[in-house]
Amino acid sequence: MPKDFVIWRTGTAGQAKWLESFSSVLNGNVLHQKFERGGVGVPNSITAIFSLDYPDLVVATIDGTPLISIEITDQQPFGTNGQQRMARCWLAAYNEVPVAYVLPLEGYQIEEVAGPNLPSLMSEPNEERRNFLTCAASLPGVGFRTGTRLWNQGFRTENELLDPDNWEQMGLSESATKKLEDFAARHVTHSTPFSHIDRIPTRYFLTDVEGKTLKAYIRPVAEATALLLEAFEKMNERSPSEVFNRVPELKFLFRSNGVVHLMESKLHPELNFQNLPPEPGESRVSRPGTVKDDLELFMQFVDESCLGSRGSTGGAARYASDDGYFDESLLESVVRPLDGPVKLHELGSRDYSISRSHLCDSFEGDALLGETLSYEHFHVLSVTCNVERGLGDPYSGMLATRDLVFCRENFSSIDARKTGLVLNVIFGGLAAARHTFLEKKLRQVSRARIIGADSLDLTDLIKTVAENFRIEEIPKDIRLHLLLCDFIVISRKKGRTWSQQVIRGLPNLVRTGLLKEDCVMLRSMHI
Amino acid sequence: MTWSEERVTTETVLWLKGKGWEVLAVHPPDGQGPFVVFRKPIRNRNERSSYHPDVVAIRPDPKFGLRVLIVESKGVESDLSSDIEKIEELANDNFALRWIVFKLRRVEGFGLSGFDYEGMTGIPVSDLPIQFLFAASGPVAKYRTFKIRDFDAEEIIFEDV
Repeated sequence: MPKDFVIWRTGTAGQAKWLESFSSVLNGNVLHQKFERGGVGVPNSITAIFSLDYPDLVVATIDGTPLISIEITDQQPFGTNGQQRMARCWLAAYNEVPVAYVLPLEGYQIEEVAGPNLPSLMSEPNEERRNFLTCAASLPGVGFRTGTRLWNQGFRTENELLDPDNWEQMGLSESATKKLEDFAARHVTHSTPFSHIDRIPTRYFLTDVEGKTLKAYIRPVAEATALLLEAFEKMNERSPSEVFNRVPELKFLFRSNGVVHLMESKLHPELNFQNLPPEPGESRVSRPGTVKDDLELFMQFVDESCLGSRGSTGGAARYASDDGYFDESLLESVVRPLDGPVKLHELGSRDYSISRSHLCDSFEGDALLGETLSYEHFHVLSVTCNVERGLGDPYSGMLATRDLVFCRENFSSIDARKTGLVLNVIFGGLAAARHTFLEKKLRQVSRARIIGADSLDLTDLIKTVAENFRIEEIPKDIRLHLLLCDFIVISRKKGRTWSQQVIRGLPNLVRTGLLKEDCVMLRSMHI
Repeated sequence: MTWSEERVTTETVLWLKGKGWEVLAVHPPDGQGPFVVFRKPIRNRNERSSYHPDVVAIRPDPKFGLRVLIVESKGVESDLSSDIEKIEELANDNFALRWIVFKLRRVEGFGLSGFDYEGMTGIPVSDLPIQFLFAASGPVAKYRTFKIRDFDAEEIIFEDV
């Protein structure tokens, strides 16, 4: 029987099967196709939606119109792992295709304890003291040292520590009280609008395994999650974009750090034992305004996207700062403002903001005049690299995230931003002399196709490449960098001195009229 | 016809279920598995710092409450030797073995099968209720039992018809 839809996948076959099994629209009405670039019969629109990076799953019509782009992982956002996938999400939103990302927003972690205090509790002979200090150590805002002080003051029980009536008497600082209050509301009394995972009972906080002390704790929503969620808010202005929470469960704390796996499905036994999200409707309801769990909402979002009615979650609250899921100050803490010109090679690996005039003064030489610096403010992602590692992942996704969260005004053009984006790469050690990022790599790529490529200056070469190459033909370790950065600043250490190269990316070339928005490279991203 | 590793794994899971094992996790050939066992870091060896068993299964045990089965599978019998070496290493890694028991620790209040981890801390590592299974396919069906350290090990070869 002819099918109406295709699931194009680069993820596992099980993920595609899981999607089909629980989607009312797709079940029995979909073909499964592994995406391979350049593969026979791959429609151009599908090649385009996979051109920046590879989404796990893309559901499309049978004739190749993408309907939704999907990411599925069991990793909580931490460090850069969640952002790593954002380039593919960015491209879907750019093309007004709905985007869904299924992942745990908070999680349980188990790791070895550093320092002597907590391991010493394992051999504490006084059981009451051991239990009290272990509980204190497990509570944000309290900790081992404060716990010791409180024990000496006469506090004895877990209930005393968790009783808000005692917090003033406990002598905690304002910020410590806030931490404890937030933790208790989220994980103990569950008195917040969004539901959060259960607190780990004190008896499971510390464990000895062959002489190593391990601690189990909740890794809360922090900067990495906030960045991801905020990026989805920006994409949602363009196209329905939604994050769906895989809620970890305490019962699987040790087996899988709480991640729930589909171990036994009566409805779809063929999915059993695979590492997949559980059945929709089996998890805790996570957000206010709905009685459905997030995997039910996800399937609803998929079905509506496939039917062309745009994905929705039926009025359920979003995981956004506006809806109170995270505090906006988490985003502010990501960026350090620079109050004057700086030596760009002295910046550490993190995010900065800088004014146009201070950035201009931070560039060496006069190769770049003021008129190319066409925003009042710039966001700087600074990366230090001392070895010859590729600068593709996670930086591609990190740049897409920064474009969305800190820079982009809208998607009307590649340069439709309120703030410019700068990638500041600092090469020391072996990388200073050997790393091919970015000019050497670009010249290698262009030599075979552009006659006289080596004689072009770098700006002309970038322009010529953009006019002749499709985006997916550019290696991933320079692709998003050229596509999204107004400037790429590269510092290399030579002996005791530093050299600086400032490269103009595509948004800058478009904004200053050197490159047209309908060049081959930018057109190739359109489905 | 030669079987894929995936098919051997699937057949093994069915075989184990028939013998009363409860399968907890299956690690897909190129994917992520839910059951990760940390290994002792070995200096100057560029290997993953964890074991990812192809299948993890449990069944009741009168002495310890549970027994754990760690399964490694390959498409064909001749490829099993690297898995056996890997498991021999695991079987001599006390931290990894104790970690397996820790991972299957019972969390009270949920009615899941699990070990009384604290109650088992006095048991020597070599007595832990862990056993191993190697599975593959070949022209002739075979089965043998042997020991790795003091642990029971089995090898099953499915006839690749």
